[in-house]
Amino acid sequence: MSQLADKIAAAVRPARSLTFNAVENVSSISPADVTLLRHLLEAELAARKIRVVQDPLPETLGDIKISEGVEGPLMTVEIHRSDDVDSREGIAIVALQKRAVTSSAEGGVPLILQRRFIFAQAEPILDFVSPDAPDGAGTRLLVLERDRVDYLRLDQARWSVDHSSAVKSRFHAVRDPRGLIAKDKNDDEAIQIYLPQETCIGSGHGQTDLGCSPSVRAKPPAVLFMGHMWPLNPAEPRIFSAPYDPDRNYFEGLEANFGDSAVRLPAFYSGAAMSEGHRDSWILAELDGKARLYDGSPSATAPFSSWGDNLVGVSADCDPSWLVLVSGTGDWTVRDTLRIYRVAEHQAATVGQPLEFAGPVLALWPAEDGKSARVVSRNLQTGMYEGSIVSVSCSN
Amino acid sequence: MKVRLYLFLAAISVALAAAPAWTARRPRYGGTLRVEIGASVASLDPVVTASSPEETAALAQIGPLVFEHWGAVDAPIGAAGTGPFRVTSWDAGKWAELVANEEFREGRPFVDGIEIAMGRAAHERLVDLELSKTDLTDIPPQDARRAAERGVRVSASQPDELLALVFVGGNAGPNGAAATSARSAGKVTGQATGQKTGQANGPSRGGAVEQVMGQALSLAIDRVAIVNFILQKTGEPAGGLLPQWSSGTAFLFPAAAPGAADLEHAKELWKQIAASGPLVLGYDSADSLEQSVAERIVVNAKEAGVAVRAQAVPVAGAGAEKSRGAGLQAGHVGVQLVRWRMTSPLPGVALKDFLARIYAGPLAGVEAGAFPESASPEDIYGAQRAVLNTYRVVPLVWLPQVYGLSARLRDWKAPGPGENWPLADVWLDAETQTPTGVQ
Repeated sequence: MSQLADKIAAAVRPARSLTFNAVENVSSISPADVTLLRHLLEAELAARKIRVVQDPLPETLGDIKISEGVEGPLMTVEIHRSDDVDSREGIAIVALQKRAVTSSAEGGVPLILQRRFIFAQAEPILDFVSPDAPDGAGTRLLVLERDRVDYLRLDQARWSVDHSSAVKSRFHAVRDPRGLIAKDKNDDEAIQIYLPQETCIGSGHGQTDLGCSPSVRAKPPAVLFMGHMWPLNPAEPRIFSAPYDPDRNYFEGLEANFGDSAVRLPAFYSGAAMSEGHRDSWILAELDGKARLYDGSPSATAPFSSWGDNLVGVSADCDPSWLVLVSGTGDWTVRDTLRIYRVAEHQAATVGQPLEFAGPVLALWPAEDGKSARVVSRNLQTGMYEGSIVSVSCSN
Repeated sequence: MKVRLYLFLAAISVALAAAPAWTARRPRYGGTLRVEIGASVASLDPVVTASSPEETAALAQIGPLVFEHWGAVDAPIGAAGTGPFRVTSWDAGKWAELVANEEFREGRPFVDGIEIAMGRAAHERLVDLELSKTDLTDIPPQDARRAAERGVRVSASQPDELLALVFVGGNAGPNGAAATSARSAGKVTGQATGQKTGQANGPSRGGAVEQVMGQALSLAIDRVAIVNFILQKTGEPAGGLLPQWSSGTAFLFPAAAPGAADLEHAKELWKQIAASGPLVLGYDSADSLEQSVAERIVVNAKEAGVAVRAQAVPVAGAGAEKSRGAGLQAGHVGVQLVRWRMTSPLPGVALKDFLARIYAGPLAGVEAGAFPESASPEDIYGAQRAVLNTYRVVPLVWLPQVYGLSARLRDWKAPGPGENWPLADVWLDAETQTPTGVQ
């Protein structure tokens, strides 16, 4: 702003006063920030002995325009003589920094979806966890990317990378990689990282390098070894763990027991599980774009239409029902939503208002506490990947 | 003149794109993507030279599908088959079949393969889209609205191609303020046919004449009408060398429709130069958009008393650039229409490329100052202003790249400047219904 004021001061000399027309804002800068910018500019000009006045017959006029290019917002000031609006005494342009914006959910219904924005970065995110707090309120963060884990530390409201551990794969990449971070059940300090072709073990504090082993999967007619089972329900991995297809972007069918018979359920992108007594139930987002309920039978007992490919089970203190968070339909070029569904009697009913995202939800993983979910989304306006924690709470 | 912003592109993406019924979100594997293009690509062999600008442009899209690295000069680096696809069938200029490369470093593409039909005329491509016989094709921007009205799913990029008038030859002279001196000197005589009347690097009288011609033309041309009527609102009027979405400061170069005062000013300027004949405006004989725009300019110029004659210049065929140059000279073309695509969305990078063309062409002989890619917004504004003040380059409109998509094509993002068709990232939604009885 100081630079801009210098240029304006040079353009208006010898005038000691200047009148600004109304600021024209054609950028994503908020009106409040526009007002703030104008006040900052006026203060800088005052320091240069140039008064900004509201003169109906001014000698010198300034047009302020806040616009936006591909590299961000800009502030342009054109100085004119008031007797010739086509004159240009000077043009000053400065680039502006945009302030981070966080989203919040709407409420007013029995169950409310709340989003806590945790961080954003330009590199794709597969998963993230806060080792201190499942609700993301901690001061440390592990971020899983395609080929490394970053250990971030919160320092004066900004995340900075403490250090990184590389994941060196000897396999060719997959185009839609997915990854999951899980805490080691036997060691509070340890984490397990699940990637399409590797599983890694390391310290949650990043004090040691990651140790990775491949999820070998020889193709038929050789022996088929299905690789590591990804724990899709950290609270109860017994009922919901499944092998991941290392060459694709989905889970191969999970082994389900119905009475005395073990059955492999269809391949799926994501799912939610519920256990009541000795009866286990699953909802799977399958490859044909439909979600199906498997409840006491190897055949689907109910299909759910218009669900996206990302779903996860959550619980709420005030509601004992089976609650499922579900993303919307549409591809990765459009905005997305998360909705809560209450599942009972083989039917799913949406509850409350959807939570909107400025781009697709790319990953949706259950948090350790079972009450929230980690969401990775891409903001189509900024191009940034965003990590958030979404939880269900009661409106009262 | 009043400054205006034009947001036609936003309107296109909202109004024209017929959104399919979504059934899924995460990419699906499988299927064969069918692509139709207008150009005929003879070979992907780096030693074979493209015979037309269209073939060069098509090669720049197909090449990176097969070669992992496709150089900045549209030449492959590395071996064929290192890209996301491998060629399994090639019928030169007509048909190509590619299969997904399972070993591709960035991951196997989602589709199993691509079939590319080449040399398909624009109307054939549109009909095939309507009949669900193809999944992806390019659409001339002037046909975008009509295609959408016929139910075609249309995708448009940000406007990244500049249609401009440039003076032929290097008559500019080193003084960017020559137009001012021409006006103050009173009547200036000269040829309006582009015949060189001065040395490239000296104080050029011909350059000063052309500068006045350029200013008269710039004042007379109704860019808004070109966008509204010829382009059917698919594009933006251009006043500067960079679009608003990239630089953020295009509003500083007004491109509003000319008012009565502008036309009067143009008349005065034209009287000053006392041209001996009409200014000959060359356009690509194979480009129907250029022809329509050239004819419109002739009408606009006439309204301002400026004599302009449009003349087709053949550019297709072997040695296109050479033949175009010869055609321009033979026809005594003084000013020509050019289409320049941005090479990057970043304003500094894109402008640097444009400046290189300008100072090698219409401003040849003028010393270009150093221009870093990391130039500040003010430097970017200043460099544009310096070029535009010479009036040897007259921006007209910004054009987007427009594509027609089938209902089952997913995750298609119209490529921006410097980007290629994202065919390794798109996928086909098998659940999407296609019209019955038509295949």
